[in-house]
Amino acid sequence: MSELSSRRVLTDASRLIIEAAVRAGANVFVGYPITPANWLYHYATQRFPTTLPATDEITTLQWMAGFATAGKFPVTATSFPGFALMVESVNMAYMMELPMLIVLVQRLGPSTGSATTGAQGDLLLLRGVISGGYPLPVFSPSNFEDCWELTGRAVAASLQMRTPVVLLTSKEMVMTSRSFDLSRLPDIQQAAWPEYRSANGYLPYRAKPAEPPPFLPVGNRQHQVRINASTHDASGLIRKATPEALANTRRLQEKIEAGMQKHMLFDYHAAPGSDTLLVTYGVTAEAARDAIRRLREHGRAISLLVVKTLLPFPPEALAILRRYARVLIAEENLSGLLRELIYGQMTPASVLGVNKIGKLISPEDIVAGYEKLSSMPSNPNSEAQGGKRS
Amino acid sequence: MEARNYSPKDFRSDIKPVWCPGCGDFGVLNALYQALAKLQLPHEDVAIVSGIGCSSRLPGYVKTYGFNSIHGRALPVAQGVKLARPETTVIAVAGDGDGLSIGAGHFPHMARRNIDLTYIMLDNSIYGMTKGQMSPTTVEEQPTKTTPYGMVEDPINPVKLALAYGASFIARSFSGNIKHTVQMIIQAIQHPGFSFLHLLSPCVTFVGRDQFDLIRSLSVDLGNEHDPTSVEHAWRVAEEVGRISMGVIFEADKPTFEQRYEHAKQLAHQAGDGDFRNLLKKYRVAA
Ligand SMILES: Cc1ncc(C[n+]2csc(CCOP(=O)(O)OP(=O)(O)O)c2C)c(N)n1
Ligand code: SF4
Ligand SMILES: [Mg+2]
Repeated sequence: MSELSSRRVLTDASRLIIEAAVRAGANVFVGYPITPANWLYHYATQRFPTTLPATDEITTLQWMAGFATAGKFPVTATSFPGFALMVESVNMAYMMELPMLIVLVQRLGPSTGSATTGAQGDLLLLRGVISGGYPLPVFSPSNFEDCWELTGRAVAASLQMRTPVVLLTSKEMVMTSRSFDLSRLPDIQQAAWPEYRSANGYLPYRAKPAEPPPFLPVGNRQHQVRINASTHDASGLIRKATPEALANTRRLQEKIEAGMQKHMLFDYHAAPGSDTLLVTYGVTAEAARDAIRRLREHGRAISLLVVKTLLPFPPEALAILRRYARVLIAEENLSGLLRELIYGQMTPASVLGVNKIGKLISPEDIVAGYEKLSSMPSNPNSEAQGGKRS
Repeated sequence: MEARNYSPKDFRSDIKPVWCPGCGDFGVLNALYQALAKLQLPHEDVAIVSGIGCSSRLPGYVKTYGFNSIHGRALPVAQGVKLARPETTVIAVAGDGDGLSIGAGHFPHMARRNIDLTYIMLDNSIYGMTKGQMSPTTVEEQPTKTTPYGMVEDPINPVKLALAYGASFIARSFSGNIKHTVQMIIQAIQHPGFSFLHLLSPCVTFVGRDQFDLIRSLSVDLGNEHDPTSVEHAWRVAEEVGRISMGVIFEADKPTFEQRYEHAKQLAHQAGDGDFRNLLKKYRVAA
């Protein structure tokens, strides 16, 4: 933020996310109150050109869809109970190919759970949220800088692919205030809409393979725009499972797979000589960095992988995982959602989860996990052990 | 079972309310203890079902069956309980956000169904639990965290809503007047059919202590000239401006859902439904 060179302020990340979203070109915020996402909503009231209070989360998403069809970029912030109500509408926006950003602030579940306790419990919900298993892009900030950069990135990616995008975070990340130097934050460019620019006839869902269709807003006054949540053809009319309509549906998957290639984000710090990799994301990354430092002070080298693009999962991050004989995965849930995303039901014996609910995972938890893992058998097939890539 | 003589404190649970000091909901809770004692309702005959919100904490403070469900869903959960256990006195508790925003869709349907349960709405015209956002009953001149420059939409009138969809009992009271609230809770519970009690219950933290004074200054008692069996009288109360009438606004004698459902069940039985062999006959294809 060049105009704010070396400005230390006391801030929380909710404010950074809202500011970044506006700078990236978001112009409508629709809110329904829910802890721990309320600060985002309150800041939006002061910062967005338009902020509207909805009467529930289904309405929230539907208003956003309406705004998006007319060329506005909408944002909301919620937590699991609200997101659960949005599920059908997120599918609608996905099928209609409408850009929007949903900031999902995780809290302890199941259900209403505990509104003021953080968690990392929603990753696999997001993996399966689009009926049919289609990929919904999910970014997860691991510190204040990420909250800024990934928000800008999420708005841009959403517009580029014409798809809803989720910024997955959790309570402590957005509700903890810190003294922070704003000048560390890079400028954010306003993201561009994939606009239709030809004078020829327009079909709202006519697209190149693996790309979103060029966009024209409702009300453009030149071409008819039909938007459709059912299986549809290029003109946006409802069709049964005709070859054309199915090709359009297949394209939804292909455009995300292709479009996300330039957004595969992670931080990787390889410790020379280490055969152990610590993997984490989101708020737990702070504890992971601390744990790595402590272990290093005791002469123990351990590499760190902080994943920031959670969905689709970066193939390069998988390649890094394969290099290690032992893998430790730290996340604030009981069953190991990231672990399951990576290994499915076949977690190798050389992989250990550091899991916890009700409280942030601490550096001590991770150090203890590392010690336990060190006494376990390593993976004979890992590249570190000279094994083959499978 | 031995006869017991309940006093209000017999209904108090061991949990200390988490409400802010001075919160209007304390008055509701006290009134509810007194009403249950006056009715001498055994603990095991009462179920209190809520959604989520400050107001929805209430079931935890009462020594009866109690549920905290999810935001906006007190009514449908209460309906399930009532239909499965018709002998139980079922009380649904909701906030104005809970009951008029996210859960508003349930309200007209409950009213038209006329299930024999009591619906108490604790209206503070704000979202208390989530710290002060606008609610559907927030009024124009009342700034909130999400509408800092005032409201740009008209508030919902819950009494009108209940009346429009045929609720068979509608009353209003104020938690600052415990004696009156006790009376209204008793009558609402005693009414056979769906009873709606609009209970004004101030939020001292996010609206302010003035909310008590404001409600008190606008309150008037529905006098003898008000006939609660008259729909016209009830509409007049529902549409009043500049004052808030307290008391039984409307009361009608209507068959309940339970009664009508029993009748439908008998018809189904007579038609042979519920018997597998009978049902098979309906699908028999001529050879
Ligand atoms: C689906 C869902 N959305 C949002 C919330 C957050 N939430 C909890 S209570 C509440 C509203 C509280 O207001 P009200 O119903 O008026 O009750 P009060 O606290 O004022 O008594 C909200 C929005 C939630 N729990 N679930
Ligand atoms: S926030 Fe308001 S409604 Fe909630 S307990 Fe405090 S005073 Fe009562
Ligand atoms: Mg309220």
